Amino acid sequence: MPRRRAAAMVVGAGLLFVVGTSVQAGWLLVLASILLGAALVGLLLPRRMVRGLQVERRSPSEASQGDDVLVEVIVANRGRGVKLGLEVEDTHVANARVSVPPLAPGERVVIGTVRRAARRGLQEDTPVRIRSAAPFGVAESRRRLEVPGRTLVLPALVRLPSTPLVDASPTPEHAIHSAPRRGTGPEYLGIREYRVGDSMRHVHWPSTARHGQVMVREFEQEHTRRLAIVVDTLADAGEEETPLDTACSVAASVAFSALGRGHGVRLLAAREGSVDALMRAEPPHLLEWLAELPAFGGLALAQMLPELGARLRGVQTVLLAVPTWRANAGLPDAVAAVQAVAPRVAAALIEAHGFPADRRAPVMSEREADRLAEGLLARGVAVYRVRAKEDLAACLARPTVLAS
Amino acid sequence: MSGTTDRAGVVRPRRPKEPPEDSIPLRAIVGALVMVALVAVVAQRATDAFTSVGGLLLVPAGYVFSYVQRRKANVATKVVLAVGLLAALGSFLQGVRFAETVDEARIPLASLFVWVQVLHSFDVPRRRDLAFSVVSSLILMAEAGALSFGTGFLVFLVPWTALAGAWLYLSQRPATHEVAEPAFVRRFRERGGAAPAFGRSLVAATAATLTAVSAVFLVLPRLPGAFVRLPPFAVRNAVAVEGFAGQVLNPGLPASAGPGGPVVDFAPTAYPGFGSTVDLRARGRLSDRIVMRVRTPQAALWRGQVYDTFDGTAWTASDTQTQTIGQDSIDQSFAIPAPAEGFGAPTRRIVTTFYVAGREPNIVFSAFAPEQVFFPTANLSIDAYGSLRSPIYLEDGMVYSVVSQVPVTTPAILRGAIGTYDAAAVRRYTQLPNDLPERDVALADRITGGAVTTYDKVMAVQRWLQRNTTYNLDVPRQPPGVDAVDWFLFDEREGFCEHIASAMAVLLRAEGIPTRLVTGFGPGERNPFTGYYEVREADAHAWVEVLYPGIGWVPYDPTFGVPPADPGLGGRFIAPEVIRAVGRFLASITPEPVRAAGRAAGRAIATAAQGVLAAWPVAVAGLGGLIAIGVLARRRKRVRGQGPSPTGAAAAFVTLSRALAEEGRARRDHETPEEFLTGVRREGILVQEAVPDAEAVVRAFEWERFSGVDLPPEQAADALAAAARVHERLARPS
Repeated sequence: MPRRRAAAMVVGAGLLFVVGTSVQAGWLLVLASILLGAALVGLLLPRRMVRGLQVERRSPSEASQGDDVLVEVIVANRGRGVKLGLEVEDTHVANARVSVPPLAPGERVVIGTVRRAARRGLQEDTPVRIRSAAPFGVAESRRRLEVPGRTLVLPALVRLPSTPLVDASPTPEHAIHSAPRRGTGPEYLGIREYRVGDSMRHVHWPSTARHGQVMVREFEQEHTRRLAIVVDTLADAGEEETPLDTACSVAASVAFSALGRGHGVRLLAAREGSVDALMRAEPPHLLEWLAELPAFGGLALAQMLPELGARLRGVQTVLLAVPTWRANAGLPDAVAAVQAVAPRVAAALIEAHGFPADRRAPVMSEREADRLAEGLLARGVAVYRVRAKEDLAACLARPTVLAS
Repeated sequence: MSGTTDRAGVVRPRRPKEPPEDSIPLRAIVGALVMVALVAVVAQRATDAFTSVGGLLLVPAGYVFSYVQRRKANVATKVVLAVGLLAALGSFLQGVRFAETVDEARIPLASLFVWVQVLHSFDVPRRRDLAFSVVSSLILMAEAGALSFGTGFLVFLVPWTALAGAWLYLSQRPATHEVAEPAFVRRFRERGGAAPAFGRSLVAATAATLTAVSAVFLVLPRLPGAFVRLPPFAVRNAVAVEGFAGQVLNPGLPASAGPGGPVVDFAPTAYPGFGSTVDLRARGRLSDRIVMRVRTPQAALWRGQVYDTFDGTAWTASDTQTQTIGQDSIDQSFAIPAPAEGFGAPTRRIVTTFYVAGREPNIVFSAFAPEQVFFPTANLSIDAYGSLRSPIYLEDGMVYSVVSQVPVTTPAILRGAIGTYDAAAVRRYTQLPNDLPERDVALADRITGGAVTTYDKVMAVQRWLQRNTTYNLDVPRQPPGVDAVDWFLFDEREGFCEHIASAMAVLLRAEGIPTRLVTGFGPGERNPFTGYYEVREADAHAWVEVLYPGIGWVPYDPTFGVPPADPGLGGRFIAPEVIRAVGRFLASITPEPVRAAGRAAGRAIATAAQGVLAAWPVAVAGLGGLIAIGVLARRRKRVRGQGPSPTGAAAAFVTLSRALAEEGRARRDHETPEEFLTGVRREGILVQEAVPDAEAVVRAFEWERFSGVDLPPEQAADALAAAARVHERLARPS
């Protein structure tokens, strides 16, 4: 592809030719020939520069969003001539454009670049673009090479020291349900007389000696509190960190916090027009599920919530991770369907208008986001507002209070 | 955030300012480029001394200053430079105020360019500014080239071109701010040394560039210039002709030269044909000194003097009267009257500029017929034959221009020139020596026998002379009392241009055709680089002019031929001249036996080509056969290069790989068979029912390759069958 320099050289040669012809000066025609000849060679030689190259890539198999990742690009010259002026553009994990030093035949160069994993998701077999304008910068030749390599960028995980989402028990219903019951859990509840069927392992020998009859230890029934996180995948926008990425980070961070406190976690999201659920979310699988969660799942949250009834059975808390797309304006009305099956509903509103501008995205304005938050609060939904560039832990530490 | 806000209210950031250029090699190369261009301009004496010295000293200082100050705003410097620019412009305007021709404005103009370059060199912080410097150096080179007369300009052009190539290479690389800074770069060599490879590539790139430049140079047309309205004329050192009264004075000849005087031989720097007589007894050689360079759109004979009376040994002019022509006060040119004998043929207007390089007689040489002359004197003289004389000698450094109307005649026009001659013209231009031997007339009759028109008679004589006489500068002087033309035609048959032209004039006059002898210079040799025709002392020449009724005088050169008045398209390209020059050079350095062998080979090739053309179907069939053999040989070589065909499980794996490649999933180089299999399964290319067969193939292949034990033939056959089933299953529409 010719560059501007090619046009400049041709125009310069044309001017020299016209002036040289006008004044019958042969040296000007020589200069014009030099310009045109160099332009001609400059148009043809870059093709040779990008031929006979082999490119490989080495990158970690996993990384977290926001991490700096070392990616190595290996360029080998398998051709016959020296390769000059090579530039490699690699979009694996993040876009990186690097210059390759001149490569003699049979030479190999390993270029390490540190890239910030700005987006979550699977980066697999991303192509590498090689270009060269050498030797004269008159034209540029490009090649696109499929380079194998796989890196899964997991959502950014934030440690949440305390969040009411998993710590608090704000409703009477919860208190009832949380009263201890006898069972076979790990928590010690007390001592009682032996009954047929009790395990001999639970015999409490000091008390048996003291009471003169066999006494056994009694345990609290194991009771798992369950948290469901619904991620809105209706849309996404932007190039760097996006609202959906932040929603996934919220989901991952809250899920890890809950798992650390012994809660069971379910993840739900729309995928290809139907609801996809990860019913028993465990750490590695949970992160992979969120990392590979694509945007444009085909269902608005308002359509999705009424279908969640069976999947929310036994769940105490439902967290909605919702970017403030305009399509979610009707969320306060739809949330009743969730409140019918789960005692406690919270919403993390990811304020999409604060992310890098994308005019195509149907983003709520700040005022519309305020109205959405008020609507949810009015229906007893705990609202956490997450803004771009703000500390996620701080955003999730305290719910928004309804303005009087 | 700084930037512009569009109609949708989105703030668009401003384009970031280009950061300063830190590369010292790039700056050094640009500085060297500018210096070479500056020296080239100074070497052409295109600037005054102050500008030359100032430029040479200040430009390097400016580039150093720019590098040191590249990260600063330099507001004060910019103000000073702006003031300096205005001063340079003022100086230029002052200089051109009194210039009367474009040529006179060249020193102020070159000085302005140099000062612009000097001032610019103090403010080149960015790569873009350096590019401007390179363009500026190209302008300086163009100016120097336009003023250069010789190939000495190559001394500047070669290094400038090399530096420009280096600049093109360095500046095409991305700037440091355009690419990411790598964390590390490690190089590994698998074979050979890097330096020879770089050397080879540099040589190959240079050769490719030179080839392309040469090809472009050869195909670039040489069109006649059309935009210069006032051709240049100037004199550096005017030496007046003492006692000038219209006569020709040749400073290289002794004072005794002239009619009735002793024979004056050729001096190395003086042609005796410029004066009052052309004595055919004169001998000698002229030097190869360049006497003038001619800037002209086409080659022509540079006409000097005309002689009409032949006495058997020498030519003289019967009419020595001259007429003085005054300069036009408006455009400072001399209007030359049209030839008295008429001007009936179509003409082609050419503007020719003569750059005199050595002292010559006071003849204003020009292509026939001059119409307008730009000459640095107040008046000129013209004789009865249309020859121009100047009151000063032609001296080194003199420049003059002539606008000529060159008659464009064709055989048809000349054959159609039927009419009667003016009686006075016939008397003057058919004069012959009284004692001319009869055999000369008889020879003329014999040569022109059968020719009806004047043109056919002229061509018959010219052809006869070209076929039957030989050009030789070393012929002995003819004996005293012998007619020089008769002796040349019947005894010696060898001689030089004066003899050959005189013979033509005598033979034509014997047939009653008005003819006259002309002396001047041949067109010279065109320098392919400068475009100038370089006329040497040895190009001094004699030819004839023949009068056609109603048409006028038409030149004929029986020795070398007259350059065509209408060169046509082929004459607009320099390639034929360059090829001829290369051929001449090769011939000059090649021993005669090799040349003879080459000529024989050329004749054989020409004969073979004629044979091929005659039997073209056989030639086409043979060529087709050769191409077919070549294709087969290449294919065979390729098949051999692939090694023996695989057998056993390897053949099965190859079959499997090809089948999957046809489905759009070729095995990548880095993939092991197992990875390949996993990949095609994951990508859904391999349907589930074909997986067991594919796995069987892969396992058999791995066993064969890695177990160290030969695979039993039946298992190899099973693997091949499994691969075939996979292939068949993939080929079947799902």
